[in-house]
Amino acid sequence: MQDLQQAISFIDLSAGTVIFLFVVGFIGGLVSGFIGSGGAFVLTPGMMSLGVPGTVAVASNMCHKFPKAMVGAYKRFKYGQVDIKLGLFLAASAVVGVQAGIKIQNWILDLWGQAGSNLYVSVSFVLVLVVVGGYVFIDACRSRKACGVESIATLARKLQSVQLPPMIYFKRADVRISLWFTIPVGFATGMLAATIAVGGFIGVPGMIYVLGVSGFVASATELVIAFVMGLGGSINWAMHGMVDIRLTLIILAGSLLGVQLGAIGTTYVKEHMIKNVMGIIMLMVAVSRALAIPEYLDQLAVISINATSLGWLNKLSFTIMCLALLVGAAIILTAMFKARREEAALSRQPVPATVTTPT
Amino acid sequence: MNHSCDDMKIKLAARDIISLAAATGCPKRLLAVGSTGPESIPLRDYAAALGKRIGCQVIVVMLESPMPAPEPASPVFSFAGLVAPIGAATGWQRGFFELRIPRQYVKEAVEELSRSMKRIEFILTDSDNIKEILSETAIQPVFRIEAVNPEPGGSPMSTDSKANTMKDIITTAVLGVITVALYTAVFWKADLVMRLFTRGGAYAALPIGTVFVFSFAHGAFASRLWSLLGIQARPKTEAYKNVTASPQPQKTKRTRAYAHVNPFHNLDLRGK
Repeated sequence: MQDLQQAISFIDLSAGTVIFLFVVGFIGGLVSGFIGSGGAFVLTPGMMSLGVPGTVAVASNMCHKFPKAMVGAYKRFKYGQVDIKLGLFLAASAVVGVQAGIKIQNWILDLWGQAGSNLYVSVSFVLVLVVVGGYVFIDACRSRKACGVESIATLARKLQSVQLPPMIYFKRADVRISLWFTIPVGFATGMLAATIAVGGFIGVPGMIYVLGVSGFVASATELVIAFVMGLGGSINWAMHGMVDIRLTLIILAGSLLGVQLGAIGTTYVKEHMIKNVMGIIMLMVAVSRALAIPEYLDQLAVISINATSLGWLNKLSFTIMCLALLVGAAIILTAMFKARREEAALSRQPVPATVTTPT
Repeated sequence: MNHSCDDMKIKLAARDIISLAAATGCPKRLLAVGSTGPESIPLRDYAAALGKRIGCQVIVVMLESPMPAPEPASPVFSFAGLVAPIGAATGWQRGFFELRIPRQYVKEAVEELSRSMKRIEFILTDSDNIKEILSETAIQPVFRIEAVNPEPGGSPMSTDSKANTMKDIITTAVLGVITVALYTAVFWKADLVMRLFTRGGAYAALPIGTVFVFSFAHGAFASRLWSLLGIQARPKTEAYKNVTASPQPQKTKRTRAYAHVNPFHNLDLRGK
């Protein structure tokens, strides 16, 4: 790692770089504050496209992630949406999941090299995001049709009824479930975080559909997990001198504004809106990563594609990824301001007479 | 909602209604009496939320401003058909109904509703005056509730709130200056900072500590900035707080004697 650090060159900052990082940080923060995760999947490739070495991009991104999660979690805790106990239980198993994810990554890296590792990451991205994101999106549509009426998922109801000691009661989430069912959710969150850097894409749906937690509490509690994992990861990267504090602070400047706005947004919308935003972002990111697969297949000599086409596919992939973040942010802001407008109109509106009494 | 003795009484009354409704399977009713203006919106919201929470039908009586003195030839207010439209209204199917009557007939209207509708368990109002009037005649307990947060724009900004706004602006500005100073300090000596912060080992405490400090300063600034710009979380409706918190499902069903009619309620014993 010492050699690697010596080989690392930190980029010079230009006005364009600063503005780009600030804006992406803001939008990423907005989405994170709302759905509990997001932003990281654009920031890392975004920084790399600016010439930041991959490890520095990952380290700097992670170092901005945990204070952002901390501020978001605090804000949403004030709104009564965070279950700290659940967050800490899941984070404990997520840490183990991260280690397992790193081991698998290293094993694949040794076996098939960098291209194989990239292919594994992209395929994991596509499979997980299509399956989980698709389900989340369908569920959000179902909830919307049912006028926002939410019900506990069948799987979660069944698991809650299994009395397998130790049973734990999570007060804020109002869920009583066996510890053994929380472990796989946390483990999968950590593993996905180590693989695609966005554990929340499995953590939040896991909490909703496996543990039976509401969308609000799940997305808020995910911030606690992100904080714990992010802090651990950041300390690790910082000990190797990989954190570019300038990049971290610029992203943090935008994301601390965004994360609070996203957290405020959750108080104005119905629960299905969180699932809606999450489902849409996950599906769009899945498309984006699917477009990156041909490049890795080409590197592994499975298929052959010319350089121009690969260049276009890469640009398209990155554009769709940015678009996913923008669409998510647009939905959040629209829903939030629409709700605020309706509320303001309601408070101004005189109550109509429903009966004219005879005089 | 101000925490007062009435709060506790409403909780107890609500709990009784839940146990009664559970025991009899019969929906109960509550009556809210307020004015037609926006100042009574908290009362209506509270009544609607309470009714929904405890499975109680809600009748809101809105009092219109005092009518001009009736001319001798004009017809006297009649209560005939006061209840019929309630039964016929589609809104009533959802357990909520609003009714407008002239303010001077509040006593008679409540009496008539109590007599005709039955099962009105208690009365809520947001006015001391109405509470006083109804307490004299109504057979049900009358509770006065008070909104904690007045409607935005409903009342002119008080001197206190102006002072608070100024205090908020100053605090936000101070936090903003601190944040800018912190950023300036880092970027002013960026080369030195980068050299120290990327040494690794124990120097890892520097970037970690720095982001913590920045997140406290900048986080507090961002929070206050959104607040100042009017972007705040939807306030928890404080009026609902004691309702949602209080009635817990009872483990055992309590049965108790219950009378809907007090035959002596009109007797004025004070003068005797």
